[in-house]
Amino acid sequence: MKKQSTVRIIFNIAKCLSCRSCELACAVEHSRSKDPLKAHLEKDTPVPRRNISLLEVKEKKMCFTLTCFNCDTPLCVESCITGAMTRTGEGNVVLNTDKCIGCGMCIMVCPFGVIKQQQGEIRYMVKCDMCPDREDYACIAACPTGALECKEEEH
Amino acid sequence: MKVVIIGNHAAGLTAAETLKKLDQSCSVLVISKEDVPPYSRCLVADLIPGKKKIEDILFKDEDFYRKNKIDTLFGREALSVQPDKNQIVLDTKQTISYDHLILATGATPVMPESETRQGVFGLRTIEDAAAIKKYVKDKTKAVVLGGGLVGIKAALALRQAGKEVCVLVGSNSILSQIIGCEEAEIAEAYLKRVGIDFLKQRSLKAIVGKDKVKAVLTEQGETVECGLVISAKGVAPRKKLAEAAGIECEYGILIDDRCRTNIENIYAAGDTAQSRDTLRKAAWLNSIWPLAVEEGRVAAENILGRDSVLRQRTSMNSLVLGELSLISCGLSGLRDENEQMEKIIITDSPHTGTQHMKKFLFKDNRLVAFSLIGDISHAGVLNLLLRKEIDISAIKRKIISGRYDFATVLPVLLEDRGKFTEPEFINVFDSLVKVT
Ligand SMILES: Cc1cc2nc3c(=O)[nH]c(=O)nc-3n(C[C@H](O)[C@H](O)[C@H](O)COP(=O)(O)OP(=O)(O)OC[C@H]3O[C@@H](n4cnc5c(N)ncnc54)[C@H](O)[C@@H]3O)c2cc1C
Repeated sequence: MKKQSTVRIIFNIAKCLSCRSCELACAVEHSRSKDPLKAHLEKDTPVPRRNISLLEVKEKKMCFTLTCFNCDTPLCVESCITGAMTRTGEGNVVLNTDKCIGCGMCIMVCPFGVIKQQQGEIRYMVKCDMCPDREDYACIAACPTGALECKEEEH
Repeated sequence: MKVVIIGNHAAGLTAAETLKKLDQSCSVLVISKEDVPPYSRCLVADLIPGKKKIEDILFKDEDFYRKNKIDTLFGREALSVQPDKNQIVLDTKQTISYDHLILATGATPVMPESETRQGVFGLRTIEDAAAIKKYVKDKTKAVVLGGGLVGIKAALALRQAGKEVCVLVGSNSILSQIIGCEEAEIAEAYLKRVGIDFLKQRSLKAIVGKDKVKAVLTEQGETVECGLVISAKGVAPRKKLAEAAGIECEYGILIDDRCRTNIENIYAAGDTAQSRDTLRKAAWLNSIWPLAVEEGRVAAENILGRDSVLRQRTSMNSLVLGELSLISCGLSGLRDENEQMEKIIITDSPHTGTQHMKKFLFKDNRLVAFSLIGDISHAGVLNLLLRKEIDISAIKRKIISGRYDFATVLPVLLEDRGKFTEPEFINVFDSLVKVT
């Protein structure tokens, strides 16, 4: 169950298998059909709100994934010129896509690179929305090894 | 405690919101000359072609002040500040006392001197945009003075309103404060495609016409006929109030990392203030929205006794030109480039229709500037390297290959861990302890 608090999805790198299930689940959850077989055929293919990439530390190669951390003092909110990006009372960063004009200010400042541009006729940005249509989080539910975990901080 | 804020925009509004969020008992009064709902200044140009209405560019809901219990005095101008009495005087002669004062008076467009003809406008407020929209209706040609961000936004808006537009640019490339000539070439090509004309390396000699603008004369000898002129030759911080009150100013009101002026209970924030630029190592005027908002917040937090400091910061801009997204950060202006910087540009061939470019400037193993055109993804990651002045030698090859994201830069961040105190970074670093 979701609590009324700041959501931080934490990644345990030691448990990750690099299977990319979280990325796929995220894209599907944000598609119109919510069906993995149909989602990729949709016009304006849904963008995952999560990055998966290669991390190389001290010659070791690992898979690394992250999504929005709902920063305490979010640069994306401070940089938004339309008022589309706001921080809720619970401390989560939410984007009102109706208000977003796709100006790119948030992408310019997000230090984690987790705000994405939705391709299509109308330009707007997308980010982790903490899966409002579900009781849990799609990425966490999809992870076969429990490498993703939600840390909810009371505010 | 009573806090008075002069100015109701990015800086003032954020200060008011922060004060109320952190301390409901704090009394907050916002004073503004403009009597309008909380709109976004960056979007006022969109009102000119009628594409958007005021309600489409509101930054906060109209009942923002009431909901947050913020007192307002709109349509009033503060005429003086009396630090010895802790009070300000309004145009109505009314005096208002304060415990703490925040000057968030912003900036005004620089206008041609002693110009009284009809048809010469600045573009800063809803009122400006409405006046331009009305005046331009029966005109066919317009001249924009200045090829900066506001000039380009004005030119695009006038073009969308179906007007012929000529932009007079002082230097030899447009947007020269924020990008170099390579990026400007791409931006200019787009603007020419949509029908905007440019006259570069030109300066204004005179505006002519009896009572109304008829034409613009350049020092270089041209006459450009036009029914309307928009002056976009930069903005000047509104610092008169502060200067007269003995508050230290240079180009703007000088503030420290906590947004304090030289007078203990007076703070300044936003375009009116001059604050430290991390890369330039000097007090600088960066008249941009994100920094105005941050300064408003930091001023408010310090007033409430929280020790809050401004982040590492420098210039940064994002602009959309049709299909093209453009982002530039750091010492990316034409005049900022110098021989001590190593310049690397990667482009793709323009056969895809949109042209992509990434440009990086390095100095002493640090990224000091970058511009991205087309693919702007992960721009904030580069911005982080730049602001935090991270040694990038170990990942430079990856950056200039154009393939980078947070994981790419994480190893060098780990080397410089001491520069990060934000909880979200600590979270990431901690999660790696087991494997690194
Ligand atoms: C057309 C345009 C496009 C822009 N686009 C961008 C962009 O894309 N990205 C970006 O980062 N920035 C952009 N900017 C700049 C951005 O709008 C400013 O950095 C920002 O508005 C600064 O906010 P501020 O609160 O410091 O001051 P301002 O917005 O200038 O507000 C000043 C406030 O003070 C009030 N005031 C001043 N003096 C007095 C007085 N004596 N008494 C009472 N009230 C007073 C005014 O009424 C106003 O409410 C743009 C600006 C313009 C004009």
